[in-house]
Amino acid sequence: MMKKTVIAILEYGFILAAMILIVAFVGLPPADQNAKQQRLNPSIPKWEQGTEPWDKDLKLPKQSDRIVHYTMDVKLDTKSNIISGWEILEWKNTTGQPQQEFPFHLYHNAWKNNRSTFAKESGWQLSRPDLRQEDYGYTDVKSVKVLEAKGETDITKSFRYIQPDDGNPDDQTVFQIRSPKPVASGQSVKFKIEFETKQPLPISRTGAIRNYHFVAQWFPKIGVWWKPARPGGSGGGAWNCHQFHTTTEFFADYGVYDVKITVPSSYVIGATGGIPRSIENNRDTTTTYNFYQEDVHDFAWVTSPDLVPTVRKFVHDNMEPDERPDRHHPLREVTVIVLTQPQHDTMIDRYFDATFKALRYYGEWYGQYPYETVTVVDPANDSRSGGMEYPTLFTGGTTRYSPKEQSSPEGVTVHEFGHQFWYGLVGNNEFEEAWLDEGFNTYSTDRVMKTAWKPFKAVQYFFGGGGAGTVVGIPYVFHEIDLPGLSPGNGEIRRMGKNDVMARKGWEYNQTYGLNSYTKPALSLIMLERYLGEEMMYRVMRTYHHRYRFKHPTSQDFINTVNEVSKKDMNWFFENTWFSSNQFDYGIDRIENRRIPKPAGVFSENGKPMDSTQIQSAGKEYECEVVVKREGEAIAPVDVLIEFKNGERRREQWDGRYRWKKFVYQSDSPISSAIVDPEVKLVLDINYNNNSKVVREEEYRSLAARKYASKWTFWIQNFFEFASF
Amino acid sequence: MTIISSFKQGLRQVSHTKRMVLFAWFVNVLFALVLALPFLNTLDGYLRGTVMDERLLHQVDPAWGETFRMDFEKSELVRGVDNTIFGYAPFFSHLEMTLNGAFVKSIGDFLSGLIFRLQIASGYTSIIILLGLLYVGATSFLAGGFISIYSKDHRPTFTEFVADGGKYFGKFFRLALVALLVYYLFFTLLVDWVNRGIPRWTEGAPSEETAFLYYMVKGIVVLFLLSVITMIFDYARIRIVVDVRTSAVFAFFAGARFTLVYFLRAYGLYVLLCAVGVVLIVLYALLEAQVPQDSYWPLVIVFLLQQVYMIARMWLKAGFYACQTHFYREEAKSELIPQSVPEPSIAS
Repeated sequence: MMKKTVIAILEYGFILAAMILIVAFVGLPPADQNAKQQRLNPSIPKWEQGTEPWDKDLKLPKQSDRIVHYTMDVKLDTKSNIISGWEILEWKNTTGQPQQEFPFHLYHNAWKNNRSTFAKESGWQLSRPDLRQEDYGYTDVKSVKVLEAKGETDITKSFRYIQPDDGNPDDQTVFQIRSPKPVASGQSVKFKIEFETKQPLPISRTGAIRNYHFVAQWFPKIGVWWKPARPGGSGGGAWNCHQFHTTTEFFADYGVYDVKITVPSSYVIGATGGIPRSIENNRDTTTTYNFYQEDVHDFAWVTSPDLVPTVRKFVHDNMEPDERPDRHHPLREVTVIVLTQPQHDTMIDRYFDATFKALRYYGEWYGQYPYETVTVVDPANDSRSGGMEYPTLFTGGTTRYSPKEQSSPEGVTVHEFGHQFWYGLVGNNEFEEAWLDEGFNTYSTDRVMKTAWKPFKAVQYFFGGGGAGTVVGIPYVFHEIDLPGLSPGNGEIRRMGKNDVMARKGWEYNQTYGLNSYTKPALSLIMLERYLGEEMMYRVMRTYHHRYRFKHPTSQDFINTVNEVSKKDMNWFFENTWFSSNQFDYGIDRIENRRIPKPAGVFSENGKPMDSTQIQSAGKEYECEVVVKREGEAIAPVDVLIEFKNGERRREQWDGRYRWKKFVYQSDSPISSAIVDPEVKLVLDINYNNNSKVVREEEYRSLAARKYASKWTFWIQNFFEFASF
Repeated sequence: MTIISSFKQGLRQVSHTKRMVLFAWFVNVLFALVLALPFLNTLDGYLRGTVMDERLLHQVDPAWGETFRMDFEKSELVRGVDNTIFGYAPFFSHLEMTLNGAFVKSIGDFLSGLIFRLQIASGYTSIIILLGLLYVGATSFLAGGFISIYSKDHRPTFTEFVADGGKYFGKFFRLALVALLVYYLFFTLLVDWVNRGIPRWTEGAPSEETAFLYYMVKGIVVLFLLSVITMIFDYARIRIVVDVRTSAVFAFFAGARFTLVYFLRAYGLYVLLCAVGVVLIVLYALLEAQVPQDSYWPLVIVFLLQQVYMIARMWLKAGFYACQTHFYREEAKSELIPQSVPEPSIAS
């Protein structure tokens, strides 16, 4: 017995000692570590174009103002990742006044060093650990000349970097030049700029990795002479040429791009403009491609020997018979080019399917896609170029393990294609009003996803993790869980919605760029749609798109369009959503059903006492009341639906202004339930669970609670068994 | 002795211990209810007065789930519930947690925090870890009872089972602590290192297939090593009972020696039993998917199905003990088991 006790004591001592050794060796962990696919939504409007007065006057502009005309000739050295060459920019002065100083973007200098504004805003780093010297990128302007009929004037000496946003002297993402003499209003000026762009290891959206080169924001691009965006601005116009920030995107004038690109002959190339106008094979095993595109405001390209090109045509009339009912605006043919990674061969059909659906619905709802081609690029792993839009070219992103129930690549494809409309064709200032493209497009994406597909499912990857720049594993499809899309009770808005007013410049948010550029504006548009009605929203969006295609609209332009088309003053809506950080939260405070007692006590009429039995009651058995409350600071009119036990329903309207509102009824039946905002118009409501109250019997038990609790019990039971050793 | 005969003989023995298997299931349910009942209470209170109650019965609403979690953001119990409670995802989730040593590392971290920082981590993590630790204790008790009755040649009684569980509890609990150390080392030194390494090793890979293959190979290797370690501890327990050993540490070495000497057959038996487990999971998954869970009786049926599965799982757990004990006794009978790891000699 003694022996056993000693062994036991020794072993406990041994285990403790081993624990100490292990912890000392391994290190103490920190305390906190630790289908038919087409399912038409019957509520989508189905008008024929021109059959209603409002639609008759809507005309899409045939072309843009073409303020800029870029002619470029560049060559990519795939060993050094350097693009060298020149551009000739012809700029048309439509500012209404003479111009002599011209700002240009030089975005690749954001990755020149760790002192740029981009790096500063990313925490003094470029989001890639251990960057080697050759991994940084830059654009070096070699010379700037003004071309005139009588000759050229070198103005390189006037070149200087400016920092209009933050004054950071180390930031070289914007430069300015001065022409020898002012360019009169209505006249044009031609600049010839020689430059060299070194591609970085991809840090944000662009760069070279292995033999994949995604080339965006790569050439000196002139700023926009523009009126202030906000109502109450100073007016008059000014150059708008922002530095490159961590979060923000871009802004440029429409025009023509005529670009010659020379790459090794073995490389496949895709670019804005789609199909090259000419292809020249050079003697030095390189090939020169000439891309040409009118009425766009940027130019991007991609090249790699590994890209697999597939070309198909989008033909609107080829839609399946059951897709036809929604075909109310005939659309042009579009050549769709999909460039995929070799390992994503199984995704080619899904990329095409999603692009075709997006071409169709965006075209039918807002106006046809005007260009001949669109190029879809499946990005290389770890290239950080996925999910990005450029004129007539966009990048998707997926993995070969994505099951058909997961919206990848469908979601990103529809979204990035959608930017051809919101960013590409309607060219708002993405620096200052990102919601006008990201928010509008998130709203539109949500509509396309809900219209064109059965709901996608939640998917989780097991037994894997990060690697090759993505996340891999064995996918598990939760067939019970539909992807929610945009819906009320958004956690991000609830957590961080008060941080910022939505209408702010993109680099001035307190960690809410994504929330205020994507989620909140998209939810606000759904809310607007539900307040105006689907038909009216369709008119608003179509009118806005037609009116501002190839233009640079502002928020106020959209608000004016809403008020004009809907013939309603919707300013209250925008004050409470776009121009406020207040949150919506309406709820039912309480329901009370009181039995009206029989008359008792002393009653009198004209000074004469009355017998209580003579008192006439209203004949109703109950006095019922519902108190609706406003817990958030944002205000919107709401409906309240009250249901009585006998099936009777009352619908009330409340302006939602004061903190609460009481509705009182005398009825033969008690109230059984009350719901505020029963049609879920207020999708920005941060808590939909408190929107209803149901009067339950004492013994009532929630079946849903039992359903989920039993699943949780099973989970725990299994957990204990897996965990025990 | 063939694998199949041990398998058959072991399962025959389990069929004589139905009460004990049900007792093991009862213990499991009891532990789960400690967490499940407060959750049910919270959820019931939250849902019963709303129209969402009705809707959620028919359709899972992730947005509602987010609101629920945010309304109870201080409750770690609520925060811990996620999508993996649905379908057969619990098995994926738990196997993944097992392969990454989530529970073992949590216990290790919890204990090291407690011992070296005098700090008790609060909230759900501690509750589930504490319960997990207690469950490990309960498992030690049950294992002692099971192995002891399966090592006897007569039909055991429930009283014997409980008495033997108590008799071996101290030794088995010490062995569980040794197991904790071994698993903790295995996960923190080897598995975590590989998990940290894969994203780095595959960073420049042109295809995600490379990373996928790395993870799958890692998963298979870890699963294999883990099963070997588990098997070693199974035989260590058996040797404590059959060889009447006192030292848990030496029993571990003895278990390891037996496992290595008879590796192929011992592992064959282990894999065969695991295969039964996989069949049980597949059966459960197939049946569960057939029941539309949106009204009272189907929910009752699913709950019963879940508990039938858990009983089957306990039956299989007992099967592991019975088959492996039988296998060990037969091998020990047929030849002398090398006793190169003798017990220390201490004067009494």
